[in-house]
Parts: sequence; C-alpha cells; structure tokens
Amino acid sequence: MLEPPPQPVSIEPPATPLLPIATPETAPLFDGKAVRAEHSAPVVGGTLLVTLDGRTIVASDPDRDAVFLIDAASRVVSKVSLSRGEEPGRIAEGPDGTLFVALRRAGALLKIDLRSASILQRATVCASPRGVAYDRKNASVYVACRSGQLRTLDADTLVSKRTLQLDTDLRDVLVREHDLVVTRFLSAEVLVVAEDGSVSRRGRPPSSCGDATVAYRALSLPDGQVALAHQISSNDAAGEGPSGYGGGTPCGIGLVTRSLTLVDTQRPSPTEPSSDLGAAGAANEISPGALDPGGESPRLPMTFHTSFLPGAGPLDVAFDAQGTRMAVIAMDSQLAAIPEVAGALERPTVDPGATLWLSPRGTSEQGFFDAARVSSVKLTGQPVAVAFSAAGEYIVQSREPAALWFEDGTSVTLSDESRADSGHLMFHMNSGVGIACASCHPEGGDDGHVWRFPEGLRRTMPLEGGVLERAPFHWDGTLGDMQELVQTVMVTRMGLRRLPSAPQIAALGSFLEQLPSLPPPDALDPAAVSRGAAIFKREDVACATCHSGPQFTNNQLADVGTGGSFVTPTLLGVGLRPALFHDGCAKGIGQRFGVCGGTAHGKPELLSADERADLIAFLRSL
Amino acid sequence: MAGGGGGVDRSVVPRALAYLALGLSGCVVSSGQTQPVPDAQGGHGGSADGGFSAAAGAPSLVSAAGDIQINPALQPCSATPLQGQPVFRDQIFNTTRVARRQLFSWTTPEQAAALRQDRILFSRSERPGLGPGYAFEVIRQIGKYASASEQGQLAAILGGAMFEKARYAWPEPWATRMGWPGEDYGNELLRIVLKPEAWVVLVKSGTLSVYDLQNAPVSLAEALASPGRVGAIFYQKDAYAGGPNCGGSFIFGSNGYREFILGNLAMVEEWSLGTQQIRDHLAENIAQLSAFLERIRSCPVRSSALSWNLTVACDWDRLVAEPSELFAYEQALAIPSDNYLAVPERIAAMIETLQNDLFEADPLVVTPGSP
Repeated sequence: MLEPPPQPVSIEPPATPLLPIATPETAPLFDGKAVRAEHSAPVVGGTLLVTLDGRTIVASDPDRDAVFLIDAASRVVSKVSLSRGEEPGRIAEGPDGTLFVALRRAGALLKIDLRSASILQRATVCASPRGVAYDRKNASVYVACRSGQLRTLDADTLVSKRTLQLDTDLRDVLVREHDLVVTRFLSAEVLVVAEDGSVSRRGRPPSSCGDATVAYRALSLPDGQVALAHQISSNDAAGEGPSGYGGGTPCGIGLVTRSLTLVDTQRPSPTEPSSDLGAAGAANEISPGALDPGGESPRLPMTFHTSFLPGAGPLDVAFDAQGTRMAVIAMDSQLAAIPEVAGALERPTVDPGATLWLSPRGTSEQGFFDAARVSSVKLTGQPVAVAFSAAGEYIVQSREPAALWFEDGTSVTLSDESRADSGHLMFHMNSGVGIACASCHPEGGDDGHVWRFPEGLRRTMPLEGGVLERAPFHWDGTLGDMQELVQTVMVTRMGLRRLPSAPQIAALGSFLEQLPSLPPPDALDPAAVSRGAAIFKREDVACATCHSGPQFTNNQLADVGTGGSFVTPTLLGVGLRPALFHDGCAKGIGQRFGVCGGTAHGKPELLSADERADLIAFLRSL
Repeated sequence: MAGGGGGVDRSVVPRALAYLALGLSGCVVSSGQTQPVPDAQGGHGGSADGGFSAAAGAPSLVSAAGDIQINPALQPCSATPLQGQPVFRDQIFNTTRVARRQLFSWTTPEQAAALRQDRILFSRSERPGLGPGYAFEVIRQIGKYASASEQGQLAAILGGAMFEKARYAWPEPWATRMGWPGEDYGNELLRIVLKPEAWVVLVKSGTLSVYDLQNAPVSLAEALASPGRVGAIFYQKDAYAGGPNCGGSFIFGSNGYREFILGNLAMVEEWSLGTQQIRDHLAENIAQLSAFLERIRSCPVRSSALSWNLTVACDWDRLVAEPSELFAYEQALAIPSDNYLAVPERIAAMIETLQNDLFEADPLVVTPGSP
C-alpha cells in the first residue's frame, strides 16, 4: 500500500547555488504524491550518539521504535526492538559498555548492553522522560522529565536515589564537573542545578527579535559552556495575506527564527551590549552567525551569544570531541523553494535550503560558529540528527529511509521498514518563507507562544490527542476542516508555493490525528483527582457544560468574559500547558481561577479552596 | 531607576558614558544620527516650558497654541469602546508637571526591618560596581562642563552630600514593582511625603530645572539660594544619556525609564511602612490593573517588544487630549520593561504579584525630626 518515499536521500556538494522559487502552476507539492506511514513520530533531534571510544554509533528511531547499534568499523547494524509507540529518544553512554535510552512515551529508561545489543534493565522513571545523562563521578544517571521531575538513579541498579521537582517542561540534562545544567523545552530556559539540588542560576537567551522558545537540543562543551539550539518566536505582528508568517519581523527572517546560542553559565552578562548591530540598523541581515542585535539589556545571570540560521523547524547540533567543529542539522529541505529574503544574505553565501551547516567553532566574539567559514550541505531527505565520529567527521541520521550518512560520502541502512509519510513531511518542511508547521507546533504540540494577529493575541493551540475531533480550528472557529486550514494557514499565511493535493492534506490530517496525548504530570494525588472529577461534572459549577466529551470541548464558540467569543479549547494536557486562554493571560492552571479566568467562566466561586485544589488536580490529570 | 529600595541606580552604563564623554559642546551620535546637544546654559531649558501647558490638575493636555495633539494610532481599541475614562488617565505623568508630594518606594524585607529598627530612611549609597547611576552621571557631567553657570552650581550641590544616600520612588507603586527583568526591589512598600515647601529638580536633556510642589517654576538663582529645599530629583533617561533617540529616523538606543530620587531628609515630612493607608493604595492599584486587564483583553497590542520601550519613552512628552486606554497606561509607567508590556499575561502577573504583597497592617509612621 505504501508508495516509495517521495524523495531519496542524497548528499550534494556544499554551497549549491540558490534555486529558483517554484510556482504552483509548475510544481505540485511532492510531485503530487501522497504516502502515509502506519506510524510516525514528530522529529525531536538528539537521537544519535557516538560512544567515547568511537567504536559504536547509536541511533534511536522513534518511528520504528528501535535502537540501532552500528559498529563504526564494520558498519554492521544491530537492532534493539521496542514496543510500538514507546518512542526512544535521548541516549547517554553509561559505564562498562552500557547505554541509557529514554523512552519518551513509555515513561521508562532502558539500560542496553552494547556488546550484545540487548536490554539489561528497564525502569519506570516518569511519565515523559526526555533528557538523560550519566555521571561517572557518582555512578548516577539523571533523567529530566516533562513534569519537571529531575530523577537521579543508581547507574548500576537503576534504583532511585533522588527526585527533584523543578519547573515543568524539562528537556536536556547535562553533567558538568560541579553541577548539572537542565534546559526547559518551550521556554528555552537554562537552569544550573547545584549539588544540593538547588537551582543556583537560571537564564533565558535574551532577544530583541522576540522570545526564546523551543530548545530542541542542549550540549555541554569541553570548556564548560552550553550550546543551545532553539527558536526565537517573534512578538511582532503576524501579517495578513500571502506570506503573512514569513517576513517583516525585526530580525528579518520570519516569525520564527532558528537560533543557536552559546551560554556561559558561570559569567553574568556583560554590561555592554553584545552587539551594536541594532544601533547600526543591521538587524535585518540574516547572515548565519549574525549576532542578535539585542542592544542593551538588563544584567543577566549568564552570558548568551546567539546566532541565527535560515529556515525553521526542528534542528540538532553536534560538536566534535574537542568542541572545535560544529554541525547543525535541520529537517526542512523538502521544498526546493528558497526564501526570497535569501537575496539579502551577506557573507558567506550559503544555501538556505541546506540542512547541514558545518563550521569551526566561533570565538567568543563570533558566537556559536565562525560565520566566515561556515559551509552548507544540501541534504534532500529527512535528516533528523547529527553527531561526530571519533575522527571528527560528521554523521547524519535520516528518518526515511532509516540510514546513517557519513562525511566521506558513504552510508549505511538501518532498516528497510519504510516510514514515508507525506503528512510528516508537510508538517516539518519549510513552507518557503522560513517557517514550518513544527515551528509553532514543536513535536506536534504547541510552542506556548502568544502571537499578535490582526484580530488580537492568539496562543498556539496544541495538536496532540486527536485534533481532527476538535474542528472547527483556531480560536475564532473560522477554519472548518483540514482543507480550509491548509489553504488559509499553509498556503496563504505560510506562503506554500506548491499546492498540496487533497490526498496530501488528508495525509497531514492523518499524521496529526495519530499524535497521542501526552501523559499527565507525575505525582498526582489519585484521591484529589477523583474528587476533582466529581466537581468537574457538577452542573452548578458548569465546567462540563462546554468542556464536554472525550476532548473536553463541545467545539462551540463561547464568550466567558475573557474578551470575546472563542472556541472552547480542549483541556487535554492543560496541566502542563505554559499558557492558557486565547491570549495566554494565565501562565498556569492556578491563574485560571484568578484574574484571567473571565467573568462568566463557569461558577468556580461556588468552590471552597479545597474543592478548587481538587478540581485543579483533576485538570492536571487530563 | 525608579522604584528601588536602598540601592542606587541598578542600571548599567554602557553607551551612555561614551556619549557623555563627548561633552556638552559636541554632538550626540546615536544610531547613525547626529543630534544637537542642548545648550547647558539653558538654551533648551528642559521641557517644563516646552510649548505645552496643562490646566492645573486636569489630565486633558492641550498645546499652548490651542492645538490638540491626537495621534490616530493611539486611539482607543476599536474592539473595546471606552466605557468612561481610561483607567490610568489620572496617572498620566509627563515632564510638564513633575512635582509630586506623595511617593512610594519598594524595599526588601531586610531593609524594612532595618527601617523599623533604626528609622534611618536614607542609608545606602551606590551599589558596588554599578556606579551612581545615569541620573548622577548626567548631573556630574553638567557640573563638570558647566561649572561656572547656575546649572553647574546646582549640579554640584545635587551631586554632593545631599543625595549621597538615596532612595528611588514613584507616585504609584504598581509602576515600579515589576522592575526590569531579573531585578527585584523588594515587596515592602514605603510611603514618603515631602514637606509642602519642598522643590523638585527636573533632570532632562542635560539641563536642570526646578519646580515647587504646585509645579510652578523656581528660578535657578532662588534654588541656589536655598538648596536645602530640594526634596527630590526627577530624572528621565533620554537620548542625552544614551537613552531613546526619538528625533531621528532610527529610534534605537538603550532603554528609557524615569524615576524620582529622594535623599534630603530635611524635606521629608513623613515616611511610613505597613499602614492601612499604604495597603489601601496597593489594593486600589490592584483594582485599577484588573479593570485595565479586562479592557485590553480584546484589543490587539500595537507594537512589538523590540520597539516598545522606545515607543513608550518617546511618547512620554507627547501631550494627548483624549488618550486611549493603552496610551494612558504607557504614560503612567516609570519602567517600560518587558514586565510591563500591555499584554494580558504581564498585567495578570503584575496583579498577582501585588496581591501577594498585600499585608496585615503593622504601621510605622515616622516624622523626621520629631522625638
């Protein structure tokens, strides 16, 4: 039933010339092909690792629910099979030829024996484990969880040693000599966790271009700095009409900017602005390596040097063992269309359609990389992760086909099992104006950002848990189905120049529909949840009047006194959502019952403080 | 900057000093634009006589020539017709009327405890490593480059012992509580009342001007004759000190803000902590912000974070007859930081913060000089 992948993966020489922009008349999207995979997972990055001795390459494959071990010398591939939907993610090398792998949707940590390619142990850690790191100093393995838990396990037994409750939405955890660094996904925040478990410093990349968001990947560098691959989401107005999401923003790249930040957690931000680009009016250049023209900003507890890359969507970053050579991978090359703004590129000329950038690491003044020496490689296909071999050469992992691609031009197939999926491609591709669906809906969720539309502030809505059941779409309910959504959002606002066919739109809908709901937070009190469920159903409190059914929405417009009529939002995942209401007024579920809640939003005033706490516990459980 | 407790100006002084180093006889170069520097001998004379007059006590501001200045972009949000006046209309603050008798200053619990014990209102000088702040840098420059003039003589007095130990304040508590991101001035609120005879010195565009508490000008000669009557300094950071350069095609510059600096205890009639009056004022602020939040929730915000501080700071001297809800809010600000963006989440956060600051009354009222 499945057709071959629409485009084979190939690696072309670097610095290919800019390609002409395609037009709808001449080039239908994916040549009109539509394929669907029986299962596919959003791109998360960080799924590739080379062991310290350089002998083994390890690739997590969340689409095929497998971990592949590749002998670097012989290229022999061994497979560790997992159950459907467990979605292996981050990998850490453990002691004595072992690996730790976080199972993102199985709530577990695996310990794998490298030599036998077998699972040694499996431990339940938290609902949504994301980051994992091994600490040789104390033989511990750390797991960063979406719920905010930072688990410490004995690396030998996987028995819990400590659980810290930090802020929610943790992403990566990095081991350093005297402390840990933990990142948060949507806020791109960097937390330094001292040995005693306290958060000694925290900071977020400042930007005059918007808010730092969606930290896909963080790495610890040999000199103690942290490399952070993230996005910057604009606070500027989102335009109307064609390419409304694509241009006119302060940084000149689009509403979402792919960003790389070097973080020195030990050094407070300098009192001088990091760049005078803002004052010089040069902020609109999008040269790779251009510093964020943030101008003067308040003194921060850390120093951030941010650089930009063209394009949008998930990205992964790697440094060689010495921290002197950098590679960035991105999955947005599915369109040949190149942003028109590319004409404004200054030195060096790079292909903004490229998906791999290579550079010597930049000096502290240059930021993440040396813009004058960056080279780009155009990969057609679905690269999802990058790492360096022991010899300092890059290795790229591609999703479809499942393969590794080496700098010397060779490759190795990991699996013949196809996961070609037009919906997956559409979701992650650069639409042509530097933005992807995944830019605002990372990993199929939401970026927590509140956007400025002509009609007002609008928070990004989540897509997990059966979004097709929640039509009409968008806060104003103006988009009745996927066809309207694709036409309005992808074609009109995102400037998609190759028009998708009806089967392709259906494939996108299928991809979205199969995104599972994220597990609720850890450590909820079942009794409180049960009591809260009863309160939720009470007619006099009137929650379920609108938040009804399995999606907890009746899909109807309602004016609850929050500034207009909006489609009742789903409550699935509401407990971990970074912002609530159409305008993001409430920063957490507790604030829903405060000043942001609206003047006609149920009858929470009927509840005692204890009842309200129970109701909140129930809402967190959804 | 405004709102600080015992510490002096926390802002950093990057570009500003470079500009100041050019001296008063040179040109300020910012953002590729060249701007004339006000004559330190009084050529520009601040903005108190800048061409506008205001009816005493009335927020409706009309130019001296009778022209009402209305910027269409600042009109009320079309989606939310105004019901009555903008919430913050009565708190609009501009340099045509700077003098205020009642001011509020946030302070930390530790400093509040010390105030209760020692009853020393002004106890701290500059914070180590951060210098005295922009305001005193400007005053120092005026004293240095115009030393022979009345401006210079007054600057020398202000830069001397009188304000060596200072506290920062603003007429409304909400407008300074959130501060700049990463900074916290404390959660206890001081109310300070100046004596009726106190004067306020306006530091703006590199010049000093003096007003009594009825906002009537006081000549520099009179001020020099009785410098002890200076009860407060009002400072508004502008292009002169590397702040917003509002006149050119580029408006880039460092952040603008404004503040009252208190330091002369002889002109303080009373200061207090933990009183019901302070609590009531805080509660009133909360109610005002709640009303403002309700009004703005259906309104698109007008500008990006990139330019918001500059837009607001550059509007501070714009006189508008019928201010919009948003404009009135912006005109009431002291610190247009990201924390004060007029978006619901920021306003809600401010309300929540102030609600947490509400206290059980434990009054301390001090009248300096009284036993």
